[in-house]
Amino acid sequence: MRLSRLLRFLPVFIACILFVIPFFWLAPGEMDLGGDSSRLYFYDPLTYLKTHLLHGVILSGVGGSTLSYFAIPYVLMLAGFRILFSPTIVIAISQGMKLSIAFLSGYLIVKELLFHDDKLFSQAMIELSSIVAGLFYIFSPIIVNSGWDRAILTHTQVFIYPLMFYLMLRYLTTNARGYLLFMLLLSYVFSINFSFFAAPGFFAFFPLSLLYLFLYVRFIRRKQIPYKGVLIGLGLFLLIQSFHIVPHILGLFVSGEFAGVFSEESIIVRGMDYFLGIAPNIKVSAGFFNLAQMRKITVISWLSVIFPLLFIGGLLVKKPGKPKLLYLTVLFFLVVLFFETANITSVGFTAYKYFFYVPGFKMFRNFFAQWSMVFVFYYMIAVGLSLPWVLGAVRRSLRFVIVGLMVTSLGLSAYPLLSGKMVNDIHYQTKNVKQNIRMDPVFERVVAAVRSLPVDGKILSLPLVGPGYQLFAGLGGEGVYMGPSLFSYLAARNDFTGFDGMAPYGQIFLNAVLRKQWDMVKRLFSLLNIKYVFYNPDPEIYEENFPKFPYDFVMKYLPKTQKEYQAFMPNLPIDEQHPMTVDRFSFFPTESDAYLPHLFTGTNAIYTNYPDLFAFNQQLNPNIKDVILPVYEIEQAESNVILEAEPVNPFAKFKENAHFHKHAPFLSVAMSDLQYPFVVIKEKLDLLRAKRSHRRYFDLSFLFLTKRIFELDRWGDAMPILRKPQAAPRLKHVFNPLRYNTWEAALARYEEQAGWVMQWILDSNPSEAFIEIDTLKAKEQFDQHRKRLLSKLKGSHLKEKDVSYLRILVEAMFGRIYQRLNAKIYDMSFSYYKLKVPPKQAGEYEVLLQFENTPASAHLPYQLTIGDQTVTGSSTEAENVVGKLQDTVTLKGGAAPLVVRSKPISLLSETSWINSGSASTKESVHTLSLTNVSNDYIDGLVREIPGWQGDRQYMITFEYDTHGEYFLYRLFDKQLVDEETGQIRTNVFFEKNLRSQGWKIQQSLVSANELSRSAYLQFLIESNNTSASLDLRNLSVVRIDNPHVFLRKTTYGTLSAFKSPKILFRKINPTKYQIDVSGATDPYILVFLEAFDKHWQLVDSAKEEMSIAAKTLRFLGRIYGALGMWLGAKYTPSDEITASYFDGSVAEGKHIYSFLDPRNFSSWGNAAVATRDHYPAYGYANAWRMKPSFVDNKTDYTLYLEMSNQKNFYLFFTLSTIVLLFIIGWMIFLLVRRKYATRH
Amino acid sequence: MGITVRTILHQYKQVVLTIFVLIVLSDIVFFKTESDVMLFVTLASYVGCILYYKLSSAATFRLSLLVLGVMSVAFIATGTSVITERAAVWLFFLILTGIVQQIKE
Repeated sequence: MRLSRLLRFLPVFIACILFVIPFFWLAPGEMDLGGDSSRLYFYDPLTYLKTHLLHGVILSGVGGSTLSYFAIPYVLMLAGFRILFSPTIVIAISQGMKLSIAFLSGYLIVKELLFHDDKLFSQAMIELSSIVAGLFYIFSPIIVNSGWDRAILTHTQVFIYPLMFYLMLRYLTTNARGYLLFMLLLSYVFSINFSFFAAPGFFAFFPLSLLYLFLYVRFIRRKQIPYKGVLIGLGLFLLIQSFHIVPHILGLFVSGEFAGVFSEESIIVRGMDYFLGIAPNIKVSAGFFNLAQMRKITVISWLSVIFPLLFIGGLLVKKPGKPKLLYLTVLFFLVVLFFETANITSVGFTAYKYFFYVPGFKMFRNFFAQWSMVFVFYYMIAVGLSLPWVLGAVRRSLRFVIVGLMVTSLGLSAYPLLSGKMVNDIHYQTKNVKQNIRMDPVFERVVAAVRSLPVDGKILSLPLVGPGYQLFAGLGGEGVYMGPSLFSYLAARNDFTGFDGMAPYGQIFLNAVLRKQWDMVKRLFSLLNIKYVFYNPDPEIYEENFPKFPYDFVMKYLPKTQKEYQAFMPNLPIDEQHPMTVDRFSFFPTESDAYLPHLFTGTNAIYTNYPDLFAFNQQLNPNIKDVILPVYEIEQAESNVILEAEPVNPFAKFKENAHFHKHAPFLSVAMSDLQYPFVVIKEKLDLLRAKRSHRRYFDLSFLFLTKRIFELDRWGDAMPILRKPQAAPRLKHVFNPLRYNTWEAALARYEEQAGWVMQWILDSNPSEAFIEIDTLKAKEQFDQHRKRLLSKLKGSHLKEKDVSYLRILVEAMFGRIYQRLNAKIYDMSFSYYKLKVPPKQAGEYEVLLQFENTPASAHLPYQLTIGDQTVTGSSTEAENVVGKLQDTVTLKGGAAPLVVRSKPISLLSETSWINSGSASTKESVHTLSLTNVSNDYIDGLVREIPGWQGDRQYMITFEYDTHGEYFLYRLFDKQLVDEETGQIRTNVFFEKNLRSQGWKIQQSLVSANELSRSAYLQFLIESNNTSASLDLRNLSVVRIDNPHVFLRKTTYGTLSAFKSPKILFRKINPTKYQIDVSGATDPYILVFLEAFDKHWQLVDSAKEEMSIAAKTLRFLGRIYGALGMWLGAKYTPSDEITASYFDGSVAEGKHIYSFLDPRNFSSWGNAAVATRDHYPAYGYANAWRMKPSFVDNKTDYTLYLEMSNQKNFYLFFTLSTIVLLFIIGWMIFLLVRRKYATRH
Repeated sequence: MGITVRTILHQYKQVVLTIFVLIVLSDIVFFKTESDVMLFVTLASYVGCILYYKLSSAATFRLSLLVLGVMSVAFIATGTSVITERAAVWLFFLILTGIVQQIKE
């Protein structure tokens, strides 16, 4: 009896302990901020709410629309806590709440389920089992590793879902509406866990749980389901959640994202590919043992064996009247185990893959994580229900052992969490940099300074990182915050902290910096609306502390130390003399001529097919105010059309030098070995299986071909030489191992396999271009094999006459292979393109050629062929940079191939041969007299390649005559390892054998990576002779820079100039701008430098729509306006100008940041203008082609630029609030009635 | 009175079941294949045995316990190796079979 009473209080005691434990995790003042959710809502929830949650726009990078409304109730709750407590305490409360309520929920669920079997178990047994189940849930290694460290917003699902399950269970079994109402209230506070953001967790948990509850209530408890109450509850749930669900659904329809759910690309690329990538690492056994996937297995993990043992034990116990609940639970456990692990037989795995074709299932691509919580949940119930059966069936002493083992296992796995070690971690890939920080007051001042910046422009934060994270050091340099930017989330200022956020110009920026193209950087500043550069000089956030993540990618392009950054800054278009400084931090304003305001007007539009790239083409597009629009979206013929032909570059596939890949097959069985037949059979089967994939068969074939060469290299000295032709052995010869073990047989096998793969190249490729690519790859592989075999023969212990015989055999074989392969020798004068002309833009076009690194005149003469038209040219324009062809071409609508011929320029023209040996030139033939014998890297004749640049492709071509001698030909490049010390590493790109009697052509394609700085060619003697000469001619190293081919309409630039109106814009909040337009007599283009989104709409302030919906909206707008005024959001008109541009034609007024300003609602029910003339400009921004007729030919008027989806939020947030008040009222009514009923 | 397959199966019930257990263990420990054929054929045979010999769910759960033992030993010795994984898959199907039996019982 005493034990029973003790056990009844134990859960409350444990819950209290669990709640208190997180208060010891962080030191006073310390916060575990950062991570993907930023967690800044703990630090300053009200500002976070105001800047980030209340407005449906992205306040980082180039912006765009997003919906974060779902977090409003939760953050409001945190704001309530923050009134009383410090962020550290609020974080502890949040963690404590998760731990204690999750435990209590697990305990209550199991107790409720077991309580029904009251007669079967004692009260103490029920209590004990429920407590153990609750502990099992919260201390399961899967839950312990579920992301407590800088937990994201949805992590609250750890306790919310079990709690909801318990309330549902209680409601369905008692029919007491209080549970239903409490559930609804809870779902509102934790809306985040019922939003699209938490969809994977929600859909993993609730459909199954509802089914489980239905089966349990209906068939085990044999009770009626209160369908009416359930339907009312569902209706209220949808209404109370409507403030985030409805804007999201409506948003999907407007943006067209809804269609993406069904697209093949979305299913395969975003869903299944990711799933297939991680699935092999997921283990079913880890699931059974209740272990976190992809984690290290320790001795502690062995104790987990107890858990599957327990529930199988529970299943085994046979007692009369044993209810089916345990079986039902284990059945659900198995279903969830299947979803959590996927790897249950190949059939199961294949079936799982097909689930991805169900619309929306791709949300489970990271399946093991998304099903993990629900998996532990059902495991917990199974364990909780099994425990009393098992304990009841074993001896008393064994009971202690079982419970002891379970508690020990759980205790040990929970230790890292309970001790706080898990939340006191260091940053990944850093030198022990702490994640937790105490806020530096100086940085708080920096954030305040950002908030007060008067101009509505964006910020570029340096040092730049890869992903969009901001880094800053904590107080005293201890710890570093790494997460979404404080400038965005707490100062509502779009900033670029990572190159990711600079889309679509991120790579353009990095390349421009690498190539020191500062004019490109300047234009990028303009196009991205960068007004300030923020520089953080702290060494704690850079250099040694962060050798890799998050800088590893961008460091290839940007300065590697803070010192280098300081030297780099003057290259940026900033005013270094007038920075705004806050302690050691600086904000540099952008030079006035490099800044484009957030909103501006242009009168000239250029229509092109690559607006993002053309925006940077300063030779053809010198005027920054010319608005670049996408030609394919224009439905009428335009004058200012310029199309760029798309290069059809067969070499683009060789970016990573895949053709030089060196296979490294593993050899374990010699051809003389009795096991060798099995090797043959296995290879045949592997190749047969690989035929399902073109690439797999190709790669496997070359792996096996390399294996043939390696076999000869390793065992060739001991292999018989027949000195007579021998056919390749057939499969029937597998039991005659000697049949494989001769030089002739081995070479015949190699040649036969080479024949197969060459046939495969021809048969399985879809087009000539792909055949060319594979042929080039195959040729380089054969070159490698030939080189290795010849080197083997050169250094072999065979007799000289055998070596000579084999060399002839090898050369003859490769001769036949090369002949059959028939690899193309590319004429670098020709470049190939395709051009798609929109039908409406057919007409006369002039042709312009633009070369990247050399003047256009150096490539004269030009010739272009499109269809049956050929035009030539020999003149240039734009300071000799752009080549212009004399004649024009007539383009029809549709796609057409295009070929350009221009003179290639060899980089070698300025250098000569150096090192040992001599070179002479006679009638364009270079005779290289070589005397080297050591075959060393420094011997032979060497020729530097001037003008070599990283991140480029080169074609090296020459003709050679070796007069029967063997030579070695190599290409080296020098890569910069450390910019500061200038440390260089030399790499061999390739080595090839040269031998000919008469002239032959050699051609090699190489791709230099971004670190490559210079390169040189080397020629050596490969034979044993001490001197020999080699003739070369037409040696060229050509950088593959296909000229950019532009086709410009002959009417381009002939339009008479329009007059640009004056605009004055003011920000009301990030979703609404007021634009006062004056003097708009002509058409103009309004540009908004924010990511293109169809939700951005221009609304005429004076043009009311007369539909019923519009009238209703107008009426509601007036109510909201009045409410806003009542709540203190007064609108005070101001003529203050904070900045003006372009001689005053664009001006910025005083910006405010108001959620309830009456102007937010004054345009409700008014007409949106130019909705069909809204286009993406410069490849990312918004542009409207405005005509006077759109505004009833007014010249002076006011427009509102608004994010239309925000309106839905105002409306449905009101609805949700009304429903919330109704539910609270109902709850109060129930409580009062209950009290009244108790009294009477 | 001839000896039929039926009488042999009846007479040698223990032998048949022992062979079946050995096949399961061999599939886990020795074959190391990922083929479903072996698993499903063996499982189908076991279901046949259940129907023919009227085996109870307890027998299936006992077999599960044995497989769990193998899985645990393999896990302690080799981690989440091929053997452990194969045993886990067997455990999954045996528990499933046992539950279906139990529900029918």
